[in-house]
Amino acid sequence: MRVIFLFAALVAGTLAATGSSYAADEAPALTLRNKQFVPNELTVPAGVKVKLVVRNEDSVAAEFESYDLSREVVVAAQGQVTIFIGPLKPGRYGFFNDFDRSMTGWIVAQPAAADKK
Amino acid sequence: MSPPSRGWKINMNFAQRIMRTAVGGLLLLALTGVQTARADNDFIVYSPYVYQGQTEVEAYGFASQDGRPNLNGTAGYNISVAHAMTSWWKPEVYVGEFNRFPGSNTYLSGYEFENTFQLTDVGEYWADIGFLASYAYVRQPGQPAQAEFGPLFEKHTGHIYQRLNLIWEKQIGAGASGQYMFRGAYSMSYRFNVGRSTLAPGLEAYYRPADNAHQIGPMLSGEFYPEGRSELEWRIGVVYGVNAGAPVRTLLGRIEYEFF
Repeated sequence: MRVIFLFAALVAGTLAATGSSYAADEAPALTLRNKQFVPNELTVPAGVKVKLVVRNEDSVAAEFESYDLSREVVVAAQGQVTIFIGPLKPGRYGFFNDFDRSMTGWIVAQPAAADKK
Repeated sequence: MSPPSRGWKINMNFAQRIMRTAVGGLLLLALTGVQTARADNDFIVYSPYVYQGQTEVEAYGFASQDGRPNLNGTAGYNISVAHAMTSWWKPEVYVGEFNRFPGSNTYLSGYEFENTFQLTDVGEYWADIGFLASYAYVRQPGQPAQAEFGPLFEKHTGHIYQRLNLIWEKQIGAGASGQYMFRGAYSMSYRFNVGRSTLAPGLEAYYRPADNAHQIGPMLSGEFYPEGRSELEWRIGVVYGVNAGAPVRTLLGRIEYEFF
């Protein structure tokens, strides 16, 4: 029993202490406005974990969901949440609002300028 | 290249949330000096996620079948209401926990105050982490109350969703055994969209060394979005005993309505 408890504490502690490579300080943002994602296509750097803010300016809740990105999060009306995506390989990753699947968009992961050369 | 302060800032954020959870847990334990108890009917795999402002109304239950008279007919169901007060704390009140033992009638066994704390942002670490802390009051005289606590994990990989709960239970108050009883719960499902619904076939497994009862079996769950602002979740399935101490099979069902 004690071993299992210590294992759980170790896992939590390790996850807390693990440093990750993050993109620039300024977190890119996706906004839900008038039943659309703005921007509809958001470019992020490939190869690093990216902090992403999802804002909902509409009057109804939304659920940002993406099987491509392995992410799902509910955003209250007039609310916002912070999620992390990646590190992503270069490419296009679709997402949608699970409460209104007509609302879709793309995350585009692009190599950093130095990597393109 | 990330700034050197970045990881520290995130770790501090994590530490602050750990502290909040610890304070919440201590407050909960401070409220548990009353003599009470309850029966264990937890056939649920908790999610660590908390969505500020969301209200949930939930009912779930189980019924066991077995050739042995001491196990056949064991059943129970719970009804609860939850509301996420912040982006990291969701209190939930089980307004009724009902149980039935073999050969007896269904009775109201008690009430429960349960708290889910979301400790990390979605995708921040390899798995998303939460913490459960609950206090259960049991109506039967002379029975001790029960506290539960432990970490909750969830991991999404494409269409595959996994959850893991590591929960410790402890009786508290007069007559308490003083022992910690562990249970583990795991679920895995494959989600796909069908019209305005989501379907997710998968499996659930329960590990209860204190009861010497371990079970695993198939599950089908789904979500439906009736108004675009609310969500109806359901789950049905059956878990089979994998050792002699567990019932041959236990039927499970759950329905939950979530709204803002």
